[in-house]
Amino acid sequence: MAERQFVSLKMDEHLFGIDILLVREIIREFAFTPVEHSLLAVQGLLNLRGQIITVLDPSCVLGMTPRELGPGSRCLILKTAAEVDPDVAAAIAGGDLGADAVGLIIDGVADVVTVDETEVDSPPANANGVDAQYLEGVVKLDDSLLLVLKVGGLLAGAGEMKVTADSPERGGHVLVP
Amino acid sequence: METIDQEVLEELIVESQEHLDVIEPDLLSMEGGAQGADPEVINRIFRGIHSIKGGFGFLGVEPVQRLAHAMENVLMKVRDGELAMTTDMVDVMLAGVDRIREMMEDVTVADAVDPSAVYAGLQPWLDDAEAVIPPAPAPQAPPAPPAPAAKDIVGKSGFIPLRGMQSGSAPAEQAPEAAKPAQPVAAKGPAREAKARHQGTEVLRVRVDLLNQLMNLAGELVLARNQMIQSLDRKLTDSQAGTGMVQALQTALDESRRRLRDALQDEGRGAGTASSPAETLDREFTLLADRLRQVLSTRLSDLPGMNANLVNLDVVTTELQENIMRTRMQNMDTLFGKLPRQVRDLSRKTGREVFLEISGREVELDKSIIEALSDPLNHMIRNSLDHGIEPPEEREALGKPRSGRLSIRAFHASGQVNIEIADDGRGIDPEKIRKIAVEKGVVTREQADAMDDREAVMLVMAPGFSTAEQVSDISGRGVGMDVVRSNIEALGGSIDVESTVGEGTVMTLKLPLTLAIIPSLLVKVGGRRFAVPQVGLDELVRLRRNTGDKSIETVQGSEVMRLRGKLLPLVRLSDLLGGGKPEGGEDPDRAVHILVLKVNEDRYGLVVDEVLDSEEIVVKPLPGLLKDNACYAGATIMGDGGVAMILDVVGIAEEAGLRFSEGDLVLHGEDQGDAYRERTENQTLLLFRNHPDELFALDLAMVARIEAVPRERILNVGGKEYINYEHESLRLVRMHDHLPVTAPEHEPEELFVIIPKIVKQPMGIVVTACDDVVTMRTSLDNESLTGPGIMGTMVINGELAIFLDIYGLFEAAAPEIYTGMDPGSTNPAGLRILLAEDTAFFRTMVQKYLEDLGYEVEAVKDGSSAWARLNEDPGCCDLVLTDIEMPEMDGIELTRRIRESETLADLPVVTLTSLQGDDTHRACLEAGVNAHEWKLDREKLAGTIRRVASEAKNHG
Repeated sequence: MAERQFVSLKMDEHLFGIDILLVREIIREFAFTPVEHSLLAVQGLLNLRGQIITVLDPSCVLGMTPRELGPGSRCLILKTAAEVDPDVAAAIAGGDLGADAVGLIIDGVADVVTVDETEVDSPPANANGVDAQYLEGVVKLDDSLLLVLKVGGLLAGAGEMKVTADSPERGGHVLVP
Repeated sequence: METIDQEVLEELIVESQEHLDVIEPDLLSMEGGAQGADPEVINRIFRGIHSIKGGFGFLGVEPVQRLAHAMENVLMKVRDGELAMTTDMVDVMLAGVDRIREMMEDVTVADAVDPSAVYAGLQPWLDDAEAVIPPAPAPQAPPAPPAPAAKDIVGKSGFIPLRGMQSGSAPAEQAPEAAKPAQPVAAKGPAREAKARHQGTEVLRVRVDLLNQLMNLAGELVLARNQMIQSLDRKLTDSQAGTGMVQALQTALDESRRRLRDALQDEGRGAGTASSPAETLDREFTLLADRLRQVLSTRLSDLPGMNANLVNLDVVTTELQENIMRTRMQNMDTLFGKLPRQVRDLSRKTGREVFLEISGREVELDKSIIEALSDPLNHMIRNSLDHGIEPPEEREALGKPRSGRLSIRAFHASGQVNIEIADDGRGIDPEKIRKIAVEKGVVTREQADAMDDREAVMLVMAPGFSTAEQVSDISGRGVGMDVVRSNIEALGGSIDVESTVGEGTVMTLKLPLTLAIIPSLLVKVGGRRFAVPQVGLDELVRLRRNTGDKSIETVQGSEVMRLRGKLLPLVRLSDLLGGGKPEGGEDPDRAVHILVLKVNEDRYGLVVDEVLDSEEIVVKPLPGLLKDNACYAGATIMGDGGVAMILDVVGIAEEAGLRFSEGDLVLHGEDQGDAYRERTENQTLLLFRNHPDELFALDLAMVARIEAVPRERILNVGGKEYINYEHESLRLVRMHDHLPVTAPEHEPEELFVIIPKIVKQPMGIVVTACDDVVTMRTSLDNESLTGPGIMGTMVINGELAIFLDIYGLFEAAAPEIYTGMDPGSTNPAGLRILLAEDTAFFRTMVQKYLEDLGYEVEAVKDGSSAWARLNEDPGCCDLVLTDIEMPEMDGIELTRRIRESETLADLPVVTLTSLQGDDTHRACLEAGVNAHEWKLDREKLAGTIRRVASEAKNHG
């Protein structure tokens, strides 16, 4: 019996989980340079100790309200394909993690949830309005449902969603630490 | 067993390739010089082939061994003087070298390579006994290591030959476990020989990925240094603020203490006790004040020490970075080494005779650039041989030497590496190019006609253009010069073609030294920073809005700007990126900054909010998710840790949908009159100072460059001052040494050197400050202040500016160089010139130049005045010198009337233009002028007048 740990994060009313094995770190104070781009989710670029990180808003991919940047905002840096054991990646990433480091804007971290791997159920076709292609599974917690994100699928989705005329206005402002 | 074999084999292949790399040029060098052949050369060839034979024989790779053996037999006879090395023999040997290379690509299938032609070729020189060697493939497969492993290992070039090492064409990559070779027995012999050749510098193979990592780390170090300098600067400011506060505090403390003492004294009169609490308090205060003073002094003293450390760190970092970068550098030999063979083969194939000249093998470039250059260079050489150099018979008929000359030259110029490929062939005929370009729909007839010859020649690099009239095996391969051009541009370089029909073609590539760190200009748009690579930047223009400047106009819905008579399409970065509006909204009083960027031969203006600074930046490639955005070339990390995007100059032009040909054509349409009027009235001037109270002006068109030079870089040699400028020493002049102007009282640490153009041997003019560049109407007063080197004065922004006459200055400073023209000899016939020029400035300037040369000049203010004067007295002058763009009657119309007139038809006319390389030349020639010159180039103008006058005299 193996345990799995998820970083849980809230987006709109949902609780999402990202496997901790795919997370490099979470940074509290961050300033990124907005970059106008045809991809909806790409917010800009961030310098993390000399490395350029592409900053994405996962809610744009998941079809939720774009994140508002504020003092509670965090940036969750995902590991790249090279940083994750290939077997682990094949088992839980659900797609290519890519060669470039990506950061996700999140609204603060709730907790790290530890569950047994058997508790991760396959996702229903449409879990609370979230497309199943972005979900690896769901975990029933005491008071809520943890939607386990398929990070590879999320990145692939981000690479496909173009900005359209009715896309929401971009934030375009820079948080200064 | 197999693993040992494999290591030995890898080692052997690497060494054999090195042998072949030496043998090839050696063979080429022997060609033609059979009798006088250097015995050392033939020995070297022999030894190389012998080693290859031995090595592969040991490992049982029979096809290689057999072939090498046959070659060795013939070579032995050459070495022993029994045979002479003929051209045919060189051919066969080269073919043999090629076959061996092919076999070595994958030794397991070496017998699949067919060497029968080589054997057949060698046959005549072999004795019967030796000829027994079976040319047929061996029946059994040779015992060699597993195929996939060997194939993976060989062929990829994962190593960079280090500096100082004879660079091989493709040293094989060694598997990590092979990095410490176990001294293979068989390979020892050849290995020692190979080492012997490279004696002197010890060399080491280093993995490319390791170098790349080092490179990245060095980049990080540069960033860390920049960040540190910035934060220290902040600290310094903070500490200065802190010092101020401490001082204020101390003053307050002293004041309190004084008042306290006063109060104490008042009290003391009454009490008179020795040690009152009040006195203790006073002591405390004194101590406190002293401590404060201490704190203050340490704060001030530790910073300078810190600064020195930082300077040290700065120097070391820079050096480290440069040295690591140099490990990635390879010299041009990597590229040029293959050329003699290639040119030889091609010339035999095309039936040309070519003398190849290569120079600059020692010039170094980044490995990645060298690699990417190989194909474009090959293509250009093929072009030169196929289209450029004529067949020998044709050359003889033309009176040219039978052998064509192909010269390939690499050299450094202005921080870039130039590669020049020149041939003395038939050249490119611009008329023919125009015709083909129009036929192929590359340009319209009108566009083609509007182009000057140079522009037309550049059309060979336009997409969709291929000059090959028939597809040939050599150059007509469907990849045209447009591919060459885009490849070069992708490397951040540029390509230029110059050609003279019948004399040859020169193609020049300009390339950056390295791709990883580039000089750039930082700009701000919408509150964000962007970096623009300096290579794409032509100039900076600043427009003040509140002066009612109509320089930005709208033509057909797009914004354009007039820059020296040309329409420059404008792109607003903020519009393109859809980003924020400029800070503080559209302020009409705000100055507008325009970066003039070049895309091939075209220019466009990029409107930005602010120009920050120029800086060397480390280029970080764009992450995958951002790759499809054409506007960006990469990203970089700034000193403060923020990320700035690097703009892609070409990509932005494409994204904005700029079409340059249209922009240019507008000038010939409805706006023409207006454009011409502005062109004549406005002049762009550089304003500068030597003494703070004296303002000088110089036409910007006469300035090649302004360099900021730290004072210590100026060298004093034999009483004259020099700086190193573009690898040459440039002589400097100080205006106050030669002209009646004031010397600066004290010299700043940093000086500016103005480097003029037009002048034959330019000297740098040292000034203490460069104020501004202004575009304005000029009218010159040449009476109130005159003297050598001074053209006149004019009031600019309420201040009197002195117009510098650089010719006068140079003549005064170095008469031995610049006074080549003796007035007496230039005007023996007392030539009288009628000068028609509407711009007062030029009228004065040209008149002064000509009078200095001893001519008699009568100046009138426009074309109609000149015409009236000529009608009044047809014999009033011997030559008419006229500006082209003038109100009422322009220079072309004046010329036409002169030519149509009965009495004046033979009068020589020279037209003057204020723009270099403008498009009026043809119109002037059609109107019948004798010559057309740029008015700012006095030397050429003087020469032209002399020539035209003497022609007219001989004619008459």
